[in-house]
Amino acid sequence: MIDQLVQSKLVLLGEMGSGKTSLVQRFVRGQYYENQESTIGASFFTKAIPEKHVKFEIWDTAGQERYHSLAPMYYRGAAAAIVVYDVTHPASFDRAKKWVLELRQNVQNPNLIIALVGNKVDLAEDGARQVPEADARTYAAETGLLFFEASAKTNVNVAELFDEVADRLPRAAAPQQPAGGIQLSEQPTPVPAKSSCC
Amino acid sequence: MAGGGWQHLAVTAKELAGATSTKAKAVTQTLGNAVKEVRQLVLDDPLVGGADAQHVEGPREPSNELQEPAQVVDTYGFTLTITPEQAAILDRCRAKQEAVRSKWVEQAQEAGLPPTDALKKLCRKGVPPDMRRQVWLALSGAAHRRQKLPPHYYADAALQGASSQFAHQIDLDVPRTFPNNEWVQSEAGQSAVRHVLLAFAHHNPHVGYCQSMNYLAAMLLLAVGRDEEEDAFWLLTSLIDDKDDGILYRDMYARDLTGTHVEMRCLRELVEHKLPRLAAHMDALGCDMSILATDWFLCLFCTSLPAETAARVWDALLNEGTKVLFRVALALLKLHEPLLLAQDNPGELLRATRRVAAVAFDRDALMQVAFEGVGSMPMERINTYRARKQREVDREMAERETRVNLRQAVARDGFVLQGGDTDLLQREAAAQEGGAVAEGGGAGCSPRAGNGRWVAQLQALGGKAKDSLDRGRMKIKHRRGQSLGVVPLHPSQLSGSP
Ligand SMILES: Nc1nc2c(ncn2[C@@H]2O[C@H](COP(=O)(O)OP(=O)(O)OP(=O)(O)O)[C@@H](O)[C@H]2O)c(=O)[nH]1
Ligand SMILES: [Mg+2]
Repeated sequence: MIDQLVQSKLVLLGEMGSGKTSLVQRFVRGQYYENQESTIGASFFTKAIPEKHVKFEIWDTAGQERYHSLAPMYYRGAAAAIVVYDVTHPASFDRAKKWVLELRQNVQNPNLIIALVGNKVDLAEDGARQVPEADARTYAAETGLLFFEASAKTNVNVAELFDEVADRLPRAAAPQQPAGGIQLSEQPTPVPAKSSCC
Repeated sequence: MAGGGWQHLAVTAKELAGATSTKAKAVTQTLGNAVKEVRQLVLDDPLVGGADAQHVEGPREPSNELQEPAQVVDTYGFTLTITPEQAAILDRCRAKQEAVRSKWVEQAQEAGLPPTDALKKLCRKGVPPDMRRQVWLALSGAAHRRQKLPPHYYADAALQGASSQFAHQIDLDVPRTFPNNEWVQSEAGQSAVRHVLLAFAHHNPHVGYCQSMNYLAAMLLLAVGRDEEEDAFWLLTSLIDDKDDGILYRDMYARDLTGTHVEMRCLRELVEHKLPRLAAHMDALGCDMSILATDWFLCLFCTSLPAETAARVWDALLNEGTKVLFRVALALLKLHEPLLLAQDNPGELLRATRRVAAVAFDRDALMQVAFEGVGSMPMERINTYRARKQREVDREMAERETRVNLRQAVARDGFVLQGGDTDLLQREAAAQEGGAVAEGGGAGCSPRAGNGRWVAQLQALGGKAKDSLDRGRMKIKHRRGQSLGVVPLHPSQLSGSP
């Protein structure tokens, strides 16, 4: 390692079973498990891309709607967010849009990079696709998001996704503060009360 | 009630002495049955006596001792990769377990009822795996629950659950439950886990299905018997019950996991008292308790600790209640405090914690610290914390809902906020100016042209008005034009927004 790596906090959000953990596993370890365990709470991974002088600190979150209230804790202070949906599952695309909205409303970093990822594109060939690529691409363009269709399973566009995110990171980014306290409220809480975890 | 479900389990000595105590009776009967069933189980159940488990049962041969990490299958069918040292620990714990078995058998054979204290001690020492089914059913109140309902209740619920709104989520998660357990991954295993979860979703639609319950259902099946779906179901309902009658604190698994948030904050409070250095370190890193412990409390440690260790936790949990979760959490943190203090960011802290928990094979040591090493922890104190934290969490949740509702009212119906909590929608206002999408948090709101621009003249909105906003959009509509401060946007105002 010649240069210092810039640490960048990255968070994955998206519907349960859309493939967040699988994408991270593929990127970080080059592995894929057909029966990837469902994530409870969140998991943490790190991965450096030395050529790009970046070390990603990756928070992989739980997808079920009721875990939503935990999310702000993980996306706060993030440099980048990857919002995942499943191309065979339209409801997951709607959910992805909600995540994008929430990020826009609640993450203060004006340079936050958001990538929209339609995962499981390997299934599209079998005619299982339910979310047209054009729809998602248009939405992403209108909303200012990076966009990829990817497959954790067949390793399509996974490295490309993270490379692209790395390229968009502000070069002189200060090391990101890690996750703060839980914040049920989506808005930033200015002063944490003594007895609270906010 | 802030007391959660633990209270109904705290059977007093008096109750136990009285011949009318269902629980006491059940325990006695159970133990008798359990003893009878032990032989049968050991012979029949591949979990306990089968070929898979053989290499970890019985004394280890000396020649194994210098070997590299080896793969073994534990009592519950999980594949473990363990060092010879860890194998020795497992052997030691198993030997102890055998010693305790005789006490359980003795207890069961006694004519009298087991006194509370003895029961507590025994449960803390661990229930022999082949007696867990009967003992757990009795301790948890599951046996009692079953008696109160018609015999076909479970079968019907499992059937009806298939059309529950949660069926899809359950189907997604079943194949993703314990990939390292052959039986859980088998067709029979998946079908059993699925049935238990579907039945629960039907039985308790308020909770329905929460990710983590898949692990609970699987672990229960592994512990009480692979064919005992119904027992696993009743145990699950004893743990999770929104009528404040479950072993776990209410609403831990319900919408928004409010109960879990409350428990996390209680744990945080306890860590501050018991492990002040760690609490300060976590503060310095900005690491919330829920980052480390959410899965501990939702999965009751069965995804964090080795299965046999987790089962030991459940032995005490089912008897004493949630306090045990706090004790075990504190024990884990305490045992590894130096390592945790050396981590310099929340992610590494989480990883270190998970690493050490995953190899907590020495269940005797962990239980000893949990029950003797973390000091007193009166339930009274936990309940005081809970009451306070519950109010805190309720308030934050209500505020969040208000914001979502306000956003909807503004985006969808063109309301103008003329008074209000200054902070409430300020950021949304900023996003709006910046041309970002202006949808509310709710589903299906599409901002109409013109409504996108709105003014937020936010002045102090009284508490009462805010409360009524909490209730949602309908209320806002209802109060339209009144002095509440939320009025429809007039076209003339569009050009003059401040
Ligand atoms: N065909 C296909 N299946 C995939 C792909 N990625 C993930 N899956 C499947 O989808 C399941 C869920 O993937 P996960 O990565 O666990 O999903 P997740 O978003 O992390 O889900 P939660 O942890 O529940 O929020 C996996 O068990 C895989 O079987 C993919 O690229 N192609
Ligand atoms: Mg996951």
